[in-house]
Amino acid sequence: MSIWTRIGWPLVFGLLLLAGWYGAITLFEIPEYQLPPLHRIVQAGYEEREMLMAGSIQTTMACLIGFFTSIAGGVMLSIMLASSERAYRGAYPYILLMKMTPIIVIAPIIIIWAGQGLASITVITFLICFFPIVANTTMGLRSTDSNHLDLFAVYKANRWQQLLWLRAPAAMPYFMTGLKIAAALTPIGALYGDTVAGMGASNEAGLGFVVMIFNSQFKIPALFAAAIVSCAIGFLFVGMVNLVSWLALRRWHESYLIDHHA
Amino acid sequence: MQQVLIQLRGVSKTFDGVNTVLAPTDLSVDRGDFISLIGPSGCGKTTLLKLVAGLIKPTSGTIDIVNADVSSTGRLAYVFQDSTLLPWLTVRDNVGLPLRIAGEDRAIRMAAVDATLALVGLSHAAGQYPRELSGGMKMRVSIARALTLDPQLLLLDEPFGALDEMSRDRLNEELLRLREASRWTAMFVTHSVAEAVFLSSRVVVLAPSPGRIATTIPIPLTYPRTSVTRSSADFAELVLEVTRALHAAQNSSVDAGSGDAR
Repeated sequence: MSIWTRIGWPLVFGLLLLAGWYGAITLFEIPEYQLPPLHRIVQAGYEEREMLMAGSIQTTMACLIGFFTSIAGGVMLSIMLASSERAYRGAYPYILLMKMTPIIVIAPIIIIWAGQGLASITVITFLICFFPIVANTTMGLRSTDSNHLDLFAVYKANRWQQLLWLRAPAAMPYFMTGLKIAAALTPIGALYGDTVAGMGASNEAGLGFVVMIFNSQFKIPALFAAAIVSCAIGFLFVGMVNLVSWLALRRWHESYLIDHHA
Repeated sequence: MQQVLIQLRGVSKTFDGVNTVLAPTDLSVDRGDFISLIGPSGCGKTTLLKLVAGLIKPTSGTIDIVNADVSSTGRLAYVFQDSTLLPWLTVRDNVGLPLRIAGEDRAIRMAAVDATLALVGLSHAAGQYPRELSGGMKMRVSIARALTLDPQLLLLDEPFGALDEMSRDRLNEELLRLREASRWTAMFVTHSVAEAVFLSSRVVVLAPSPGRIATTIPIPLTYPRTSVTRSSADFAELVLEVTRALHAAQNSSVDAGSGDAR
């Protein structure tokens, strides 16, 4: 792939989109409260920078804590589930049941337990990230090649050696898939958490809460600015995971070997 | 004079209580023997090998590996049908895996691995990943991995089945050359009559439904055997003899009504 197709084309598409945007606004005389032009969004973002910045910090914090605790918890649960057939058969239906329960239903219960504020928002983020990680990692840990397991059995590897040197690396691509899904969901969890458990005090309002404020004040360009900022946070997480995944798998996994075969 | 290494007495295997893949079988393997197991699909060749390796337990009968050394860690090695290399490890780390499982420290491990890689002529590929290797090279790495522990007993399950005939012949010669150095005992599963005759001191012909030993044919060709051996009249005669025995075994299945498995 040349630099042109990698960077040039997306750039051309972006410019076309922008031209269409401004074209439509002037042609159909769309009012600012329906679709503000880009420069108004940038301007509003600058005017509301303090609120947006504080909101971003708050939301990023909820995202980070929720995301990393869900990785830690998800991996531990997956290892337990994959360690024995009984644990898996016994516990997995209930994990599925929990997963099936919409977060909207669980949220009020969480707020009863953890109160309004960051704690509840983090728990909601955690829950949204947790299941894709558990589902994928457990599947990965359970689908180790049977010949590889025989190989480790012949050389009398103990359970830990088998887990660390065989099951875990074999599950890595599945784990990374789970992480990618979770990373994309992380800001959704935190922003949704804001709307149900957020607090309006000056430095405690996350982006989701900021959005609610802008909405109630009818600050439409600022609303668009908030959308762009949350997008950026999402990109941060997805980008981080993509980087880690590339580092972990590039040497051996099929998904990264397309360029090498040429 | 010959010392018995493996003694199977009345060993049988039935899966799920109904599917008998191996009828009660007696077999003894002397130290330094090279035994090939040959027979049509479903005659229990691989099952027999896995029983000796301890990967599966016999339904009845006993398997004695006479020297206690063999049953302890490392003195028994297994080469699988496909190379079963771990794709996330380099050639060097793959070959060193049995030593790592055995808890050898890094310096000893690396010295042994380098020596083994030199022996199979793969020193130049030490830093490569399995995906970068051809099928024949992968198999050589797999054999190198089996040899790092300096085994007394090597179990090989159709290691060259997926290779073209040229590579197979070359690897057969190489296998015998490697054996000159350390004289391990071998049990070798194959579908190829020529391969069985070329390698073995004895060819065990198995019959299907249920799997059992039909006949054992000694191969009195002297070692070392080379490509010249293949063009000798004795070789051709032995190939014919084994082929006949194989056809007879194929037609003698118990289902076809030709009597007792024993």
